[in-house]
Amino acid sequence: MATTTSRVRSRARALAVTAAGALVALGGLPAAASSSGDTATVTVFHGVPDTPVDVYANGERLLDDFEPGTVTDPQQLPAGSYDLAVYPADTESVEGVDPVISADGVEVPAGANVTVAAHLTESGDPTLTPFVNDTSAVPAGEGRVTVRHTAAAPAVDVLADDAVIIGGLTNPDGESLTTAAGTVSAAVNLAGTDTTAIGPTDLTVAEGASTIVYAWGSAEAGNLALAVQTIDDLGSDPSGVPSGLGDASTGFPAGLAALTALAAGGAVLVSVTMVRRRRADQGA
Amino acid sequence: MARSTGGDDRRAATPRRLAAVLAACLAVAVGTPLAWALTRPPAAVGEGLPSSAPRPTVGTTGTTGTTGGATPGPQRERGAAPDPPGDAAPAVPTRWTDVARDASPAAVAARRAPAAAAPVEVRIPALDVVAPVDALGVDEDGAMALPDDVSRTAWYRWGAAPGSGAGSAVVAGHVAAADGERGVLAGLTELGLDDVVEVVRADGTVVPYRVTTREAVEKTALPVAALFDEDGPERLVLVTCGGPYLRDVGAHRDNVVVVAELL
Repeated sequence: MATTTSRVRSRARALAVTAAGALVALGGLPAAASSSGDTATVTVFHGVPDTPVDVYANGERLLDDFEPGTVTDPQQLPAGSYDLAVYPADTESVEGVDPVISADGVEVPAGANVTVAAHLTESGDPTLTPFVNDTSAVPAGEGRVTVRHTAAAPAVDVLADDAVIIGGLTNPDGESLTTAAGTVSAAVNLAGTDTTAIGPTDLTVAEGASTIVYAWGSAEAGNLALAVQTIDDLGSDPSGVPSGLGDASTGFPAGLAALTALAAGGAVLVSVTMVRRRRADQGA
Repeated sequence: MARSTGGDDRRAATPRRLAAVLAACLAVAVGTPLAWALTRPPAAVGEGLPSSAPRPTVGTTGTTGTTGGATPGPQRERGAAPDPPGDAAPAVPTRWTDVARDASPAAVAARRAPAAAAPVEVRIPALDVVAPVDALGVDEDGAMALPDDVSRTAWYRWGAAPGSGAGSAVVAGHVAAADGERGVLAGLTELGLDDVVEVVRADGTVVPYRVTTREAVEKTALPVAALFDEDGPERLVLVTCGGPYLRDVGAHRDNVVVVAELL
């Protein structure tokens, strides 16, 4: 975590959705969102403690018995506008039942990679926040770490191996950086203090991947925790293989070169001798 | 003195004998380098290096949406599947079943733990090579990291592992030390088709391969995407340096690459 090569604030991209069902547009999509026909990659994170839920999209049940602290695998969804509603698990009929959370008109643009998080606001109300995931490539040997504050808690600092890597993060913001892959000891402190709210816990920064960490739960209820989503295949190849420290060019071996030189010298010597003889014979 | 001692000496070195010695000397002087050159192993054997299977680029298919670093450009952006507001709400294709996973850091780390044991030793019987393997990543320049000790080799730990079932596991070693000491993989240039290479893994299992390709390729043209491919057929790729040593660069011009397939 010591080597921070880039850092991206993504606060503007996290747009809180009120329970009243305000229209949400994922405005200002980053260029990183690649175009992919008419579908988007959608992941759902459940960060409301103690409440298994069913998730509905446009009136159809998408997820059954979705447990807190779990993340779905990424799914392809047709791009478009979605009305999302979250009900307590095993609600027999949603007719006339008020959802725990709802958000109408959530725009899921084609090619985007989005995580919809069901979580608590800073003040502890359930909400839905769509986050746009950065899927740009990372250098070989590194991984991207994104931390998102989705907990009923005030501003926090994020620490890796006892060093603050992200400071003053507030709900529902996120911040990204890329760093050397490996395992770090991650902790979350109340911002500007030494008071640890979560951790420390081992966190794997996966190489060639994005590791998205959600701080979730409720400070008041004492169930703050971390949840991890990963996005793979963002890696790069090494630039080359510099496998020669010194000169090992496989030239003509020294022994054979000496033999060749000796033979050539001998030939010259014999030639000279022969010429001299001939001259001496002619002179005689 | 030799000249005045007359008779015997002169007879011992008749013009015919001198001519014979001359011919012998010339034969050795010409024949030695010629024979050496003719007995060099061929510069390349086998079917050739795997062609680069480039990573998917942005703006083509992109359902993976993975390497979206580069901007597709404004035109592409404009053309990319507009999403007219007011469209009918898309149908949700299927219910998502069995897609939710425990997201605690420990559970995620356990799911992502490598399935294959790391390689610890590479053996090349044809070259009498038995070399330890270190699991290394990249150096500060973003190139594959190698051990300083030329008697050791490196396995690219962020790539495929031998015996993992897919992809190219890359093992490389220096061809020589700065003082000229011969590196453990310096003999790769003599490896032939079907020669056996074995990789011993940390759990003691041995993964055997046979050589299908050996080739020298200029470093600037090294097909890294193909050689470090993580998803293609299971292969072992051995790499060292070769070709002329470029003093101004302080490096060899070429990489010698051996590709071997599972036996």
